[in-house]
Amino acid sequence: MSRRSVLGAVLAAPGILLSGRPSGASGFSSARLVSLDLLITEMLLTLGETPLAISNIPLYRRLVASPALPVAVKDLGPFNEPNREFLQGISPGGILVADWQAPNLQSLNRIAPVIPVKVFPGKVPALSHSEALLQQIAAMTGREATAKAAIAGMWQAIEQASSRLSGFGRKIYICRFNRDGRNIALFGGNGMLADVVARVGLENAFTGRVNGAGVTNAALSRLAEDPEAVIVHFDRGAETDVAVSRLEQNALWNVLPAVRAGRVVRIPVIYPNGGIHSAGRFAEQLRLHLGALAHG
Amino acid sequence: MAEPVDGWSAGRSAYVIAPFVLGLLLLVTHLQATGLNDGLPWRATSPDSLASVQLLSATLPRFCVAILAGALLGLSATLLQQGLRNPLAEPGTTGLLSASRLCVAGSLVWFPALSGSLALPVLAGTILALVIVIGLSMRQAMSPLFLVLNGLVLALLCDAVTSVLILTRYEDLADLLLWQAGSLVQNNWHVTRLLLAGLVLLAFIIVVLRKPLSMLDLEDTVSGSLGLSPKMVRLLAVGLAAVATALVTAHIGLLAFVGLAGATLAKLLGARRFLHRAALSSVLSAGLLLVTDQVLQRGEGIMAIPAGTVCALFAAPLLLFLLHSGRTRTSPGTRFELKWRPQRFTGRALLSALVLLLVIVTCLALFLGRSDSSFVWASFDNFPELLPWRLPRVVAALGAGSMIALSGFLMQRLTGNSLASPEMIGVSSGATLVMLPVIFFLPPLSREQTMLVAAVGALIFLIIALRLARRSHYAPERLLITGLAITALSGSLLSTVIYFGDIRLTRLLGWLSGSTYSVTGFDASVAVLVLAITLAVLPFLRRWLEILPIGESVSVALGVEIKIARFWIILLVALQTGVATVLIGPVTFVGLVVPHLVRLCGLRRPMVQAAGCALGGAALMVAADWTGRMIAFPWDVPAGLIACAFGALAFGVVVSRRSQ
Repeated sequence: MSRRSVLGAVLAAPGILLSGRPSGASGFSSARLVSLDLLITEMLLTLGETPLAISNIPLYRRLVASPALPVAVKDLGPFNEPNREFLQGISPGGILVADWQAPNLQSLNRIAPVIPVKVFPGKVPALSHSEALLQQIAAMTGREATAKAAIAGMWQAIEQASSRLSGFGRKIYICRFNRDGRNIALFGGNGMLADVVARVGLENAFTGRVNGAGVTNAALSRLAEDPEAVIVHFDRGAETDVAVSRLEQNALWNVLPAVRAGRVVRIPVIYPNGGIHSAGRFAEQLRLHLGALAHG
Repeated sequence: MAEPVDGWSAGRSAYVIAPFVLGLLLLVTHLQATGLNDGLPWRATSPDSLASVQLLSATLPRFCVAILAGALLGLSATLLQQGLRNPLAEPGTTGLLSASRLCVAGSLVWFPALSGSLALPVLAGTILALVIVIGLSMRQAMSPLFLVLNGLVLALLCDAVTSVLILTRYEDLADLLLWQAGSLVQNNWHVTRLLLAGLVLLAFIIVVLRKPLSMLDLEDTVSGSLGLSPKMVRLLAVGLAAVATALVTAHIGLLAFVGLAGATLAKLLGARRFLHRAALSSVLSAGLLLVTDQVLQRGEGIMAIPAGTVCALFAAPLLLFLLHSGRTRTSPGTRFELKWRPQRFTGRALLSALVLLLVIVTCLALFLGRSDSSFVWASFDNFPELLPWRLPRVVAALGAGSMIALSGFLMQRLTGNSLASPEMIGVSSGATLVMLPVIFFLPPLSREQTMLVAAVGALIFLIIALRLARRSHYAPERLLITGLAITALSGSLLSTVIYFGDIRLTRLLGWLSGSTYSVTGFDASVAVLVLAITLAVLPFLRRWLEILPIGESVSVALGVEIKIARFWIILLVALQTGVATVLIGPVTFVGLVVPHLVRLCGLRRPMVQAAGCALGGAALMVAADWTGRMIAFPWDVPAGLIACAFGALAFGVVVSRRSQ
C-alpha cells in the first residue's frame, strides 16, 4: 500500500518534479518547496532538502528542534493562513501541506501546486506510516537514497535500544507534567511515541483513549494504576522545573511506588507527532536512560 | 400552582437536596468501582497505602472543592446581579474572567518561569478589570448599564488579545488551555481550606451587610433618601463578588456560567429577598458543580474531561427548559437609561465624514501592502497580481461589517436592551456549535461544504430561536437569556475541544476569530447582495424602529402589530448574521459597539443611525482587515480580533470624553 500511495502522489504532482531549476546554487535545492506543517518540515530537513520557507518557525524550533532549521529559511506565518502575497514573491515550485489543511488552501494553487500529504497515521502503525511518508517526499525531491539511509538509521537506533533493554521487565508511562502539578499529558494509542515503545519491545502502561495525535490529558492519579511501571517524562525546561517542584510537595506523588523507588526518568523533549528522525531520537533516549536504570 | 410567598416552600427543597444526594451516590459508586474504599481509615492497612492517600488527598478534597467553588460562584453572581441590577451579570460579563485569562496567558508566554501558582496573574487581572471598569463607570455615576457595558467591552478586548496569543503561541499556552478548562482535580487539602475560609468570611460579611445590600433592589433615589450611598454599596457588592471569583479562578480555573445558572435558578424557584437569593443561589450552584464533576469522575477511565468545560452543557439546557416551560415568570426587566448630551454635529456632516473615512480605508486596504521591511504601494505592474488576493477580502469585510453593525442596531432597537447584539439570538453560536463536531469527526471538507454546514447550523438555531421566541411572544428578556445560553453552550463545547489539544483546531480558531483569509470572489458578491437587500428593506421598518424601543404598551397604543414587527426584524437580523457568520466567522463585537458609538456621536433617528451603522461597521472591518495584514507581517491577524480591539478602544475614548 505504501508503494502505491507514493506512486500516486508522484503521478498526481508531476509539475513539481525537478521543475524550474534556478540557475544559481543558493543552498536551496532544485525543488524550491515550502512546507506548511511541522512533520513535513522535519522530513524535508531529514532528507537534507532545505525548504524556502515554512509556517510558524518559532513553533518548529521549540517543538521539533532537531534537525535544526537553517537561518535562511523564511517564516510564512500561521499554518492555516500563510501570507499569500509574501508566498507569491518567493515563487516556490510546490507547496506541501497536511491533508487536513488542504481544503482551505486551494487558492494557493494559483501560486504553485498545493500537494496534500497525509500526516496523521490513522489506523496504520505510526512508524510504517512515517516510513511511507518519508519515501513519498523523497520521491518528489529525488532523494530516495537519503530516505533509505534515514530509515535504516532509525531502525538501527530501535534495534540498539531493544537489545540494550531486552531484560527490562517493567511497563513505562510516557508523559509530560503540567505546571499545575495536578494534571499530566499521557501518550499512547497509535502515536509515534507509543509505536517506538512497542518496537523497542517495551510495554506502554497507559492503555486508555487518546486523541488523533496520540495524547490525552489526565489526572496525576492515573499514574497509580500500574504501581510497578517506570515514569518517563519530557523536559520542557522552566515549565517542567515548576511542575516537579510542585509535585514534590504533593502527597499522592510521594506515595507513588515509582517515585518512592526512584523510577522516574526525565528525557529531552521530542516532538510526539514527529517522523523518522524524532522516532530515532526517542529510541536513543530510551536506550540511554532506561538502560542506566536497568543496568545500574 | 400557588404563587410562592417569599421563595421558600417545602416542595422546592427537593430541588436543593437532590443534587447533593446524587453527588454522594456517585461518589460511593466511584469508590467501589475503583477499589478506593479500601483506603477508608477503618479499612486501610496503613495510612500511607496508595488507596488511602488517593482517597484522603485526592478524591475527598475534590468532592469538597466542587461544593465550595460552586457556592462561591453562586454568591458572586448574586452579588453582581444585585450590584449591577442586570439579570445577565456574572463574572464573565463584568470582564473579570477575561482579564484574568489574559493575564494568565501573558504570564505564561512572557514569564514562564514565574512560580507555578497562577494566583498572581489572576489577582492582577481581577484588580485591573475592576479598576478599569469601575473607573470608567464612575464618570456615569456607576450607572448599572454602563458598568456592565464597560465590563463587556473589556471582556471582548481581553478575549481578542488572548485569542491572538493562542493563535500565535499555541504551544506555549498548553497550561492556559488546561486551566481555562476548569479542572477540579486535587492532590491535597490546601485549596479546600482556602476556599472554605473565603466562603465563611464572605458569608459573614454578606449577613452583616444584608440591609444595605438589599437596598440595591430599590431605585437609587429611594435608597439615597434612606441615607445610603448607592454608589458605595454597589461598589462593595461588585468588589465582594470579584474577591470570590478571583479565589475560585486562581485555584481551579475558569468556571463560567455556574454562578449565573445558580442565580437564575434561585430566582426562578421564587426567591425574592436578597439574602434568600444569595443563599439559594450558592447552594444550587454548589449542587450543580458537584453533580457535574462527580459524573465526569465516573467517566474518567474513558476520558478525563474537566468540569468547567461541561458545566455550561448541563446548565444551559436546564435554564432553557425552565425559561420556556411556561411554569415560571420572569420579573419585568428594569429599563436602562442613557442620558444624552445635545448633539454637536449635524447628521449630514457626520455621515459625510463616515463616507470619506470608508473611501480612505478601502483605498488603503487595496493599494498599500507590506514587504519584509517596509510598506509598499501597489504599482501598475503588480496590482493585477495582488488584486485577486485583496479585492475579495476587502469587499467581504465591508459587507460583513455593515451587516453585523446593522444587525446590532436592529437588535438594540427591537429589545430596548443596550447589550443586545446579533450573538444574543444564538445564530452565530449555533453555526459554531454545528461546525465543531463536523471539523473533528468528519474527513476534511472543502470550503463550500464547510460553508454549507455553517449555514445549516445558523438556520437550525434561527428556527429554534424563533420558536422559543414565539412562545414567549418575542419577550426581549427571554430572547436574550436564550441566546446567552446557546452562546455558553458553544463556548463550553469549544473549550472542551481545545482541551483535547489537536493541531487541526487552529483552523477552527481562525474562523472563530473572524478571518477574511479564505473568502472568495463569490462570497464577497453574496455579502454585497444581502447587504443591498437589507438596505432596500430598512426604510419600510422605519416606523417600527422608532416606536418599539419606547416600550410594549406605547407601541400597542400607537397601533403597532408587535408580533409581526418583531418577527420581521428578527428574520432580517438572522439573515444578515447568518451570512456574515458563514463568510468570516462569528464577529459580534462590531454589532454591539458600532450602534453605541454612532448614537454617542449624535446620530439618533432610526434611519440616520442605520446609515451611520452601515458606514461605520464597514469602515471598521475594512480597516481591521488591513491592519491585521500589516501589523505582524508575514503573520495575518484575523480581522475580527483587530476590529474588536479597535472598537473597544474607540468606545473607551468616546465614553470618557462624553461624560467630562
